Amino acid sequence: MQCCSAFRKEFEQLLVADIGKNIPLYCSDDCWIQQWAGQNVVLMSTPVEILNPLELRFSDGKTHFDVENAMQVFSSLRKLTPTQAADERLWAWLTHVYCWGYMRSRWPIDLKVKAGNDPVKIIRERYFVTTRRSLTRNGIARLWWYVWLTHRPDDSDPFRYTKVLLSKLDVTQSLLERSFGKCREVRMSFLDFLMTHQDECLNGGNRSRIIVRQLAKALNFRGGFGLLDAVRADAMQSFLAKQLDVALSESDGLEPQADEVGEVDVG
Amino acid sequence: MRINTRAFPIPVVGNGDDVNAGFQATLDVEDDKIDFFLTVEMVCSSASLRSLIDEGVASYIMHIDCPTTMFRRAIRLAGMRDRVSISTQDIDKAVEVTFFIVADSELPHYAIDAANADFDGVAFSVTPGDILAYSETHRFDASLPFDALKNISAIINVVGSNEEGRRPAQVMLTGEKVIIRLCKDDFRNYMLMRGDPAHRQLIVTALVLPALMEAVHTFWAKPEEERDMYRWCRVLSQRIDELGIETRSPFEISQLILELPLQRAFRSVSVPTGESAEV
Repeated sequence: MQCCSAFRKEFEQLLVADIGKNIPLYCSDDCWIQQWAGQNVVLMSTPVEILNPLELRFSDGKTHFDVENAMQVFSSLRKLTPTQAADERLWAWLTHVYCWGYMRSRWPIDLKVKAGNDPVKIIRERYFVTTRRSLTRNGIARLWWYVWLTHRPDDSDPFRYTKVLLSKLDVTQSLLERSFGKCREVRMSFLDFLMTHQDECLNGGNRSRIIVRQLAKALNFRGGFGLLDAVRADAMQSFLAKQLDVALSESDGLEPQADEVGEVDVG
Repeated sequence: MRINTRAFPIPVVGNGDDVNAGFQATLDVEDDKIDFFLTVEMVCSSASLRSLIDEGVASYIMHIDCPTTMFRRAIRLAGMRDRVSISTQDIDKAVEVTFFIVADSELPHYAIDAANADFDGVAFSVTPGDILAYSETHRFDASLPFDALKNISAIINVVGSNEEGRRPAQVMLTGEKVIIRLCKDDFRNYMLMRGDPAHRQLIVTALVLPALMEAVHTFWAKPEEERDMYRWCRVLSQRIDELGIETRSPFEISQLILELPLQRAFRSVSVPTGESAEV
């Protein structure tokens, strides 16, 4: 069984420092790390097993297959512990070596440059873990963490909350970019509520988008003077139900419209 | 979770001069490489809040926040003194711990003794989750001296069997992890004792150390090409290399990998000075 490697820390730091110089290399279809490193020892072995070889579906530019790729990454690296999964050296190896082809298809740097995006920012964000927020932004780490944060191993479908999380950009952003989303109980309660009220919260196009944002805003406000993490599930559901009533009455004039964004690409 | 003095809609103990009462907590953090043990002792001088807790309508909460691993949890405490264990695999680096008293029920006419004169004669409507008191935030570093990617605790599992009666513990080395199998009674005792710091070193020396010795012995006995066969073999090999261990003695190697557990065990029990010890 294959195990993950990881970059040595000093090598990973060198790569981060040289992002600007290496932009042409990030536009290459071939993995260039070994050649760039020369004779230096850049890898360290880890006990993290890749239980099934990763065969991620490549993005075609329109469809990114985030849900199925997330499930695959998590299943394959399901023995990873959170402390291991917070290690930037592991994800840097996965993005630069093991999943190079996927990364090229998902964030083609040459096309991003042509579109006027800042390649250094994209490379730093998608190929490395440089800040705490990076775990849900790094190209491969985010796939593992999406599932870790939402899976229920004992459910008949352990990934059903992950599917809701990734169903709409607003849901992903509302949860992962707000403080209350860090707490598992609050996160799952919120997703549970969206599933229970999917007609209003998920399937109503633009109106749903506004409702999800309002619910998240209300929770955020409630967290200003209460400890959401300590609110029992039934009380949380009652609170959200009241907020939904408010949001529905406020969005009465809005007609459901088709979603503008079909795939999640947070940030 | 850092709380700055803020304008809560109700008087909150610990928030500026809202209430002339105190809510403090002392926190002691220990680890045995497998778990962190957080021991808390709280003092609340507000009789109003203590009686709400006695009535079961408010709770003491330990709030743990580890941004590195996105671990955040509110744990209801059994009383003013309690101990909570968290796996070393769940938290890393900076961890913040704050203690709260939080309402569990609707309290439609909430008022608190010794509230600031601004709140005189006013009753508040409190809902579940409302903060009634909070302590200062404690911080500790959950970085362990070993590398999480090579964590030895990740390769040792203690499991219970259905076998009753007096049976010796077994070590199984034919899977990815080192499995220590205990008979039913021993496993029950292990589960009871593992959370108690006073017994922790005993478990490491009595259980983990001999199991690791057997694993090291088996590792050396394997032909070189089979020494990366299982995950525990690979981790062992890495640790031996990293620590620059030159001896081949399973007893010495195991102690070095476990960072001298005998010394810790001796320190954890008080031995009267001046007495000779006989084995």
